[in-house]
Amino acid sequence: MKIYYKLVAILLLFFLISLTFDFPVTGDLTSPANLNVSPYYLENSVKQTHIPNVVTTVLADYRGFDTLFETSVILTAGIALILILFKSKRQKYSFSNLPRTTKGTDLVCQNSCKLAMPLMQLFALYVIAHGHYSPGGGFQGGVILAASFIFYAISFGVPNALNRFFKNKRQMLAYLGVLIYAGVGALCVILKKKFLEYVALKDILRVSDEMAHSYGVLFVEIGVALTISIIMFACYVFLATGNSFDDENL
Amino acid sequence: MNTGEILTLKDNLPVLIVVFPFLFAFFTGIFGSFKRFICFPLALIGVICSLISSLFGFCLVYNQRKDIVYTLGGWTRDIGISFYLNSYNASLLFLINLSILFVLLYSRRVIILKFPDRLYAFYSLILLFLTGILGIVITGDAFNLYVFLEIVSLSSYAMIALNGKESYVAALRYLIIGTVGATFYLLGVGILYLKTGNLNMSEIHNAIISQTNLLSIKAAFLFITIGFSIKFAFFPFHSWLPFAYSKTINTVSAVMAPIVTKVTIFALIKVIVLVFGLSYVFSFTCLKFLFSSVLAPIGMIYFSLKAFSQKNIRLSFCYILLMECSLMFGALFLNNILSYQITMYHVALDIIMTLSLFLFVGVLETYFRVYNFSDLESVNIFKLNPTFCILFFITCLSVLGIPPTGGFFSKFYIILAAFTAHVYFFPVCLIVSSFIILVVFLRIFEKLYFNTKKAIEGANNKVPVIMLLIFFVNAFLILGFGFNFNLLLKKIISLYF
Amino acid sequence: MDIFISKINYVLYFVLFTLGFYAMMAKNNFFKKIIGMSIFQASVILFYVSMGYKKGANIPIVPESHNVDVNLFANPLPHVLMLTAIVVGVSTLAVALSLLQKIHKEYRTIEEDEVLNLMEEE
Repeated sequence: MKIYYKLVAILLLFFLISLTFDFPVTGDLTSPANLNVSPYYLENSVKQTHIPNVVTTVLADYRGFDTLFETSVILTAGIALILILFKSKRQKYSFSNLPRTTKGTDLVCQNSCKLAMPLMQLFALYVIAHGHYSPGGGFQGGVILAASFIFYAISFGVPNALNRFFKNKRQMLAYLGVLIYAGVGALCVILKKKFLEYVALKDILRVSDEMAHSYGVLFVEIGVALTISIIMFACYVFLATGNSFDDENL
Repeated sequence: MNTGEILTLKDNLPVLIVVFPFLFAFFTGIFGSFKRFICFPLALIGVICSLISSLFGFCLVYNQRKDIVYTLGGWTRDIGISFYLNSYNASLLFLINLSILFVLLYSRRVIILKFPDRLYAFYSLILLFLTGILGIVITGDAFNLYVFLEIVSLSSYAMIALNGKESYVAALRYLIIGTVGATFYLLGVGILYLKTGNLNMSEIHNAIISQTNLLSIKAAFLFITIGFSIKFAFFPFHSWLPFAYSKTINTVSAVMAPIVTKVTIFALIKVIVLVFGLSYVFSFTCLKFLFSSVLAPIGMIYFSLKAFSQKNIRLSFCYILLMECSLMFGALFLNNILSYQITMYHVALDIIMTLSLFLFVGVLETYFRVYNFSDLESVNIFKLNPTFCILFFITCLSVLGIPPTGGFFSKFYIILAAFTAHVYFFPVCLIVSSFIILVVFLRIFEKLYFNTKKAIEGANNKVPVIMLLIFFVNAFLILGFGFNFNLLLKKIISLYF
Repeated sequence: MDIFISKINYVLYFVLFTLGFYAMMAKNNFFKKIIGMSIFQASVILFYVSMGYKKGANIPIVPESHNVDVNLFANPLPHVLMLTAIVVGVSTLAVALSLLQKIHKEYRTIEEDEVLNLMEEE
């Protein structure tokens, strides 16, 4: 049976390589991809939105609707994990079932965590806030923030991390992050413009056209970072412990 | 650049159709985790809001006789993302919302019993699934279609995996095969972007008109078609569907079976018409040979034989669904305009037909505990619920293709289109597989209508009034499709070209 | 031979594509299939990103608003599209791993043929 799969794979490879005869050369400055739409983004980003980082502008302003649904994809993954890996409330909650690696007793890990974690979180907030001017933005900063939570969970153990970060249904903040994003869009509709047309925010914030775009992108990035950080940490906790905890703390 | 005009709620209608279920998904998730009783009303309100806005959208487009193009964020069409709303889209959106509404109404008690602790998560997932489906129907941007396709896929993997041991394996298999399909589509869009530099469907069309005989464009078309065929389970790639839809709970199969496959076929039609253009696809005679003459007929015979040989009712209805999908895909590649129009008509009709079939199975399983064909003998359903059985009979007539229901017109005109295109194997197999399905239905009818067992009255043996209403609306729509065939074809579908 | 020098990136990413595709189809262990899925998606991501390369260009951060020479900055659009694709890939991976954990808990094995045999016995 495997010989058939190998044959299909080799045929596919030859077909794909024969396609590359048509493709433009790598790094070609006159290829259609480099000539058609992207010069508009590069030339008009600072003029229209006062943001030098063109990737952030395209992500959150020109193609902002895509990013809204991409954030909801990650939220769907979080909800899917809750539904699949859930243990009923009636079953006894005990930490003795946890695998040994999630209990966290190593001294070196704990002390280096105490030193490094505040710096990681500060750096994450810097990356989110400075996404307009340097490579960064909501996704990248959110993942670094989640990495700091995971670092704490590895060093001190998952029960301690859950107690510290997620009491009283704080995972609802993940839903709130996407709601901030959709809420900015809905606000633009209520203010009689199109969905996610940030110019509408100009009257509320009392700034010029370009600064309204800049602030709109900032709010949207904060929403994205909130959702991503909480869901990435939740993914780690769910997958590392199986389903050995109940709903009260997450 | 941004226009300075003031827009009302009516002008934002295309995006509101997609955003309403999305917002209500999050309200359900947040408020539902505190108070359990509020999940179902919030979900219902979300679906009803979307239903009303799609109805408004349909009336707007039908009266104006012009398509609505809505660009998000106020940018121009090639810079930003645009939505296309025409009368066919709007009617599909309405039918999809209607079917989700019916399934929510049917399944309220079943869901509360099954997941008392995680109700908010389940309703959030259904609303996110609905958002993705509506987005696939309405979007006009190739990469945006991929994002919506992934929302639908992820929520369906999670929803299938809710029934215990066997559903995990079914969901994992569906995940692996579905990811191959979505990534093939992504590669096709990547090749198109490399050759044209645009992502908007109409702009890509303008750019590739002059370069259509290149191998890259043909390869992109092939990758996109195969990606979509994996997603709607065309003949060689179908193995995930019966496994996934039969192992899950009956609510989830009633939500997913009518909608996912049909919307994927419609997405393929949209890409073919908007991106590549019908004349380009018609020049591909080797595809006509491969799909319409060889794979689709063999698929139809194989699936109808499999439907005949099953013991479980839901599994045999899954194979009937697969047969309908093969029929539609084979009809698409017959290379004339009539076959495209009939396929679009059949897509809309099949949503209602498959919804009726799977709701019927759901009622049998929940209220009468009937899972196999042999269990049908032990309960006399017809004596207690005659209206219900008669309404189901109308759905069966439509699946078989008997006038005056809508199914007759679609099968008749597909056979006509096949003879026009000089493809003879396809209509022969269509008629043969219809006869095999007739035998399957005769088995159900014999046990349903000619049951001689004594009827035991009891609270558990009566179908609730709301199910009767749902089936009544379904039968009304099926007959309406049949009687108004000419009107639908001229006024709604022909405008699409 | 010209292809392998000037368009080497496309050739390499297509080799990765085929490897990932073969792993997803042919391997028996579910976890190896999921790793193959990861490789498969990563190859398409790399394919897109390499489309945006311009010879001699810098990252797309444009400091001024007038007289922008487009050839000095890389193409931003594939980067944006692939941010979305990476996030989607990670989400699919998370759901796949959670399903795999549940399967392992129930059946005590993650080989596909053994799981199917155990399913048919019940």
